[in-house]
Amino acid sequence: MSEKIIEQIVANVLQGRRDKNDEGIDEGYDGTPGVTELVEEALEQGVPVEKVLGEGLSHGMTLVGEKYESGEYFIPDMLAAAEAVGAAMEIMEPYLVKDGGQGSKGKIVMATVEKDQHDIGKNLVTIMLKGAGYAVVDLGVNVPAARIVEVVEQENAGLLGLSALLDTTMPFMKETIEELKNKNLKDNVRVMIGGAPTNEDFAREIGADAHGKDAFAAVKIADQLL
Amino acid sequence: MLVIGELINATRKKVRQAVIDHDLDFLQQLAKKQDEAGAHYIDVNVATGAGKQEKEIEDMKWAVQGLRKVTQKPLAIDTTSLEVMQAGLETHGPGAMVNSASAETGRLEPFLQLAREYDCLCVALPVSDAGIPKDVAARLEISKQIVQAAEKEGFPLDRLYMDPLAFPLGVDDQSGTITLQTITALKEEFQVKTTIGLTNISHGLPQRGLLNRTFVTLAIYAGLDSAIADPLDRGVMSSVLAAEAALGRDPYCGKLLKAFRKGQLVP
Repeated sequence: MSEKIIEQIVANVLQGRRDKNDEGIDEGYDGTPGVTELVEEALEQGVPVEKVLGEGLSHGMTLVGEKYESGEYFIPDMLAAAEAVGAAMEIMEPYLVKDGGQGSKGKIVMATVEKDQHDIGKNLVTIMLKGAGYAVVDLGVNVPAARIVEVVEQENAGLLGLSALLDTTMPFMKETIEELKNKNLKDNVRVMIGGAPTNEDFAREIGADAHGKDAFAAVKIADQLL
Repeated sequence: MLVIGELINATRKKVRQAVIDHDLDFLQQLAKKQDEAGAHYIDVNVATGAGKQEKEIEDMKWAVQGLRKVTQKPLAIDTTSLEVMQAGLETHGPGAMVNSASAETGRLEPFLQLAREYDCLCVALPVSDAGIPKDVAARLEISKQIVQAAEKEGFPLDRLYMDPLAFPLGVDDQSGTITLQTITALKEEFQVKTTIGLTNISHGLPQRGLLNRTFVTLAIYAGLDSAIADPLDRGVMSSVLAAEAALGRDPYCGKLLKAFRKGQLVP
C-alpha cells in the first residue's frame, strides 16, 4: 500500500503537479490527486515521514534533475516540480517536528553579493535546494559580506551559497570568504559559488569549496558537502 | 528599429577566450558579420572576470581600437564600470553608445555625463540599490528617476534608451507581459526611446528563435525602438522588418524589399 502511494508521489513530482487541478506533462493525469494531496493521504495512512520525503519527494526531484541534464526537461518543468515539492514540504513540517527529526537535511544560507541585484539564478538554486529537502535562509540581493557572515554564524549553517552576475561584484565573493576566515568561521561552513561570470578556477582562487554551473549542480554539491 | 549586435560579449565562452588570448581576428570577424547582417551598433563587452579592473580597461581599449578598424558602425561600450566606460569612449571617439547606466549608486549621473560628453546614445536600466523592480509600476518609478537625472544633466531624452528589462519566460511566465506593458507605459509617460535585451526572453527554453521573433514582433507593436539582439539570426531580423512594415513604419515597404533583394529575408 505504502509503496503504491510513494510511486504516485514520484510520478506526480515528475509531472510537476502540485494538486488535482494541474495538467502535468503527460496525458492521463486529469483530476487525479497531485503531490500535495498524495502526501496528505500518505501521512494519514501512517507512511513514515522519512519515507515520504526520501523515497517520494527527494527521489522525484533527483529524477527531475536527471531529465533536466539530459535535455528532456526545461527550467519551467523543473520549477513546477520544485514548487509542488515545496508545497508538500509545508504540509509535512508539523509531522517532521513531531517525529523529532531535524526537519531537513541541513541548513544553507544563500545570498547575492554586495552591489549585485541579480536574483534569478540565486532564486532557482534556493527553490531547488528546498525541493531537495534542505532548510534555506535566503538573504536576497546586494548583501554585504558582514551581514552574510553574521547570519551564517547565527544560523550555524553548514553551507553558504554566493551568487554574482557581474564581473565587478565577483570580488565581493572573495571578501565574504575572507570575512569568514577573519571570524574563524571558515572551518564550520563550506562555500559554493555560482553565476554567469564565475567558474571553477575563480572558485579555487578565492578559497570557495565548490562552483556550481546550474541549480542542479548546486544540489549535488550540497549533497556532497553537507 | 535600432539593432545592437550582441555577439561580442565575454559571458560567451569563445569570446571570453578570445579576449583573454587577445585574439583580435576572432572579434573582428564577429564585428564584420554583424555589420553586414544589418546591426546599427556593435556591442562590446570584455568583462572576463579573469583579471583586475586595470586589465579590463586595457582589454576594452584593445578591443575598441581593433574593432574600429574593421567596421564603420559605432560601438556600444558594454560595462558596469565607470572607468572601463571612460576608457572605451575615449578610445572610440564621439558617437558611441553607453551600455549602460542605471539608478544604482554611481551608475546614473556619471554615466549620463560621459554619454553627453562623448555625444553618445545611452541605454539605462531601471534598477536601483533596492534591487530589480518586479512590476510595471516599480519599473516606471525608477525610470522616472533616470529621466529626471537625464533632464538635470542636460542629456537629451530622445537619445536615452530605457530598457524595460526582459527576463526569461522559463523562470517567470509573466515576465513577457510585464516587459510589454512597461514598454507601452514608458512611451506614454516619457519622451524616451526603448530597448531590450531580446534573447533573454527565451533563455532556457527550446526553439528560442521562435520565441525571440514572436516577442520582438509584440514588443515593436508595444513601442520598442531598439533591441540588443543577434543580427545573424535571420528570423529575428526578418520579423523586425515585417513588423515595422505591418505597422506602417516602412514607407513603400522599402526596407523590407531591400532585405528581400539582398536575400536576407526568411519566410
